[in-house]
Amino acid sequence: MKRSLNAFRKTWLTRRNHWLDKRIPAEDKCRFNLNNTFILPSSFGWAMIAMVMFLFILGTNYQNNIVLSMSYFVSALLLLSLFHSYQYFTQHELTFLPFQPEFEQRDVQLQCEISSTKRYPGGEFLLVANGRTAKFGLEANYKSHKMQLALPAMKRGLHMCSRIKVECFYGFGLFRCWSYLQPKHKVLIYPSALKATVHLHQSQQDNDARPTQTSNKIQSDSLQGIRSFVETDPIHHVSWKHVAKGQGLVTKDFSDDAGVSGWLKLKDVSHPDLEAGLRMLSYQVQSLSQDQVEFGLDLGATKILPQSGHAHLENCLFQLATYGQKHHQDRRQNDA
Amino acid sequence: MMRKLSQAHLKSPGLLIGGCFALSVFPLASTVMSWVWILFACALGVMWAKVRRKVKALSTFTLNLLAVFCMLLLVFFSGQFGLLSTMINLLIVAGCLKLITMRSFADFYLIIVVIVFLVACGFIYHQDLLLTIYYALVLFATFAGTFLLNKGKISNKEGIKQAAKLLAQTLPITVILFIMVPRLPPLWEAASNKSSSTGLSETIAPGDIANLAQSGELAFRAEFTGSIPEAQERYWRAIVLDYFDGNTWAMSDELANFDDTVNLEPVGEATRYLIIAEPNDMRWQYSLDYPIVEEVISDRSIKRNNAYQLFTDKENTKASLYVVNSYLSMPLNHYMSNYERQRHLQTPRDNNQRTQDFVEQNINPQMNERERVSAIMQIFYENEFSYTLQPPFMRVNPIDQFLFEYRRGFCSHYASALTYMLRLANIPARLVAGYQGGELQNQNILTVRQYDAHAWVEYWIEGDGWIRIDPTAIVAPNRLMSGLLSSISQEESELVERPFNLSEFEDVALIRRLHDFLVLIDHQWTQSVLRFDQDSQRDLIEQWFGVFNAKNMTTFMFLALGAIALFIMLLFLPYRDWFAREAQDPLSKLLRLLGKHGWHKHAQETLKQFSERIAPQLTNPQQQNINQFVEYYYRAEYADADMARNKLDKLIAALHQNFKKP
Repeated sequence: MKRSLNAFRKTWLTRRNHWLDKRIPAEDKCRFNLNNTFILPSSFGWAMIAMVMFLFILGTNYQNNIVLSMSYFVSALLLLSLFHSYQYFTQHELTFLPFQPEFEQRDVQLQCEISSTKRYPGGEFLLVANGRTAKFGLEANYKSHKMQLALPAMKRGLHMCSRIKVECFYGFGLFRCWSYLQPKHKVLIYPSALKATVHLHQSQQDNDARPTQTSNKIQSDSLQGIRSFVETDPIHHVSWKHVAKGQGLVTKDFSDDAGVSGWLKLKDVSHPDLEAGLRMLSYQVQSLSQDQVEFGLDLGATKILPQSGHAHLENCLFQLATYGQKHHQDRRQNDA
Repeated sequence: MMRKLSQAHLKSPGLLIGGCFALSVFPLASTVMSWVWILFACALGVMWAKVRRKVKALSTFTLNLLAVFCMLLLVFFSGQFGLLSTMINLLIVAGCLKLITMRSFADFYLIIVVIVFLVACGFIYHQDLLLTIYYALVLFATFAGTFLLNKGKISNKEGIKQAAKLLAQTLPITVILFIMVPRLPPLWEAASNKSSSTGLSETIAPGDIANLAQSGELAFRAEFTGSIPEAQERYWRAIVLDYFDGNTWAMSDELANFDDTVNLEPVGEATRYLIIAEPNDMRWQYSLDYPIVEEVISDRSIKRNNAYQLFTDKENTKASLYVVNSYLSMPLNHYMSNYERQRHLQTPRDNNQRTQDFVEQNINPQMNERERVSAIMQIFYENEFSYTLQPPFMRVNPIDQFLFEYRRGFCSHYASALTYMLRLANIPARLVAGYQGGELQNQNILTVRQYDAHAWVEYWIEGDGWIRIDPTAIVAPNRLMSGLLSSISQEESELVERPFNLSEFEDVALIRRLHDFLVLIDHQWTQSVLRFDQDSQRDLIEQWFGVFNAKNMTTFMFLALGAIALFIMLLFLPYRDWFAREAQDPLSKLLRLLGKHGWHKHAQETLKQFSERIAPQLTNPQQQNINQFVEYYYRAEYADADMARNKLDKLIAALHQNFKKP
């Protein structure tokens, strides 16, 4: 019973989303209007509609004009609320802000800004997605107001985010005005880091059997001495002990990794679990990048030439995130 | 999805709703069971403590237990209370329990539903103007509270202002609907009208009316065309009781028979008046003797039976209006059949033995009817009887006990004792119940309340007809002259629920005027709102369109719906944008001005490009103006919006001047 119900729900949701994709295409900036707004009585609204009928019957049966007037009053309230709710909702404009890339197993922050043409002051908006709700009260005079909702963790990759329900119960809570929006911005989810030893291949050749570096404790093992600080040195290589003694800025000098450039290969780690392999690579990429080691990434079809720096790291992580996904282009285009 | 209430929600809207709930319960106080009051007090206490953060929320288990316990109590007591009052108690209990839990929006909304229900129930009991205003305020506060729940971060004051605006907008629609929606007859007849203190009942046991006398509820209103008869003349006949079983007087079935009703030829001067009778749930109406109904304004026809009683064909579940001509001085004399005579001599002999003996001793067969009556009346003159609202309970031989033991009683005691004795003395007699007196509201309006209820006696003398005799007059003459309150003791008069009445201060001119004004308002309220019905609608259509027919009715409906639509359009169409913003925007003003002189900006052009393009064709001051405008306009768009508006407008004005100059 429960299973068939779930199946039914799933079919329905798929159908609905399909229909919504046609009706309300993904957009980063969205002005609410007749085309993307739904309005129905809330449960309180339904209760009040029932109340109108009850009062009408009561008033008619007791031939009581005051009770009848109450019934008319509540219907007038419902009627006007319908318009007020709709007008309130459609005076707003919602802008989705780009997602920050996030790792697997961590909440994704959805951020958006709501702005208004200010006919009605105040009011409240709800953001609902994946069973999570966040509520935002608006002030009397505002140009725009930031709202955010933590979406549950997603799988690795570059995705469209699920549809976000934007909802309000303005007025007397009699009507629920809502819309399902989808940001055009994509969510980029990096593989999370899985601790592993760093395998850095000297060359890009596949037959290079023996990796030169199999240590992940570069700093402690290969410290060679100290030299005076040059501007390009990473700040975490500064020997603070010496600084404290008043000997000026000196850098710890490491023997092997200095100037070493190597290749990380997916082949090394992909067996048997690809996802685990990607996570290991994610760890290696991050740890190498932290140590300012120049490295390249070989994912089979995609290869990134050895380099270092933040942009390189992001590029590597992006490739890892989208590994296996069919349609991905340069990440700048996707604006994730 | 359950939306939870925050502490802030609990504070302002929550407290407001708690207060409204309390205020909506108070007018129903008389129907609320005492244990419900305890729950009510607890609920308000818990609510207050919750807002002050003094208590933790009750566990669900405790609450469910409490709810089950309350339901059991309700079921247990429901037998003693009527259906409606049990329902009201149920509502109050539900409201209290929800106040105690109040966690989510749903709880909050449920309390609002309960409040609306309670207010509706309150209106079934009472509909006077003051109470309506009171309830309207409660409803306003309730909906304002609902608004505050979704108000966002604006202040409470601003929120209430907004709510007031939205609620005020509903009033025109309410009024239109009130006038337009056709009034239907009751959908089913089961609904009997409830009033907390009912009027006269169909049977009278000695002492019955005494309870009635404590109620200040309005029975009816009379508007006289001419002068109002003296207080002691105002015997409002309602029911005639001719069957006695030894304890209780009842109406015999024959009285409901209208077929052989005699029409007497009216004699003497007529007193003409309009009666506006409150619903009494019974079939009888009120009139002074001898009544001829001139016109019935409400929809039920009124008939008169052989006992000069006025009847409608169905229970009066709503108010009735009718005009009567009464011939006060006319004897109630018609041919009495032998059967009728026997009915009015019917006497149960099983109990009240002492009374039977007393009558036998004091009457001898040689006496004529009048002598017999005065012989019997002697008992009231010779013994010390007293008039009281709290007569002792007389169960077995009520008349014996009253006449010979207690000698304290209310009008129904005197009347039933006298009727019984007259019948024993072979004089046809009957008990008449109704109202006596009434309070003058102004020159020609009289209000008669339940505490004016009275019972008196009629006996038959061949040739003279039915003659009224009121034994209470001997014991408490003030009762007839100036009403009930003057004829009972101070302590007892405190039992009587008196409506607030300014007429006690009539000496002060201002208060008298105010009083008259209030009477007028109240009268208007009753006439135009409470009594608005199918006929009023019909009259209205006739007044507007000339004739009442289906076509005009439809036109009327469409007009009303059109009015509603128009009102909504006025509220919501963005006509402000159409007229105001476009026209007031400095840029469009400028473009219009330049457009008049033949320069049009292309859609792709920026303002700057446009101004540079047309610059060569302009005079120097015009160029300066435009350049400055462009500069200010960009600054206003991209930096601070407020500063520029005035300056821009000034520049446009200057430009105007420049163009005018040759």
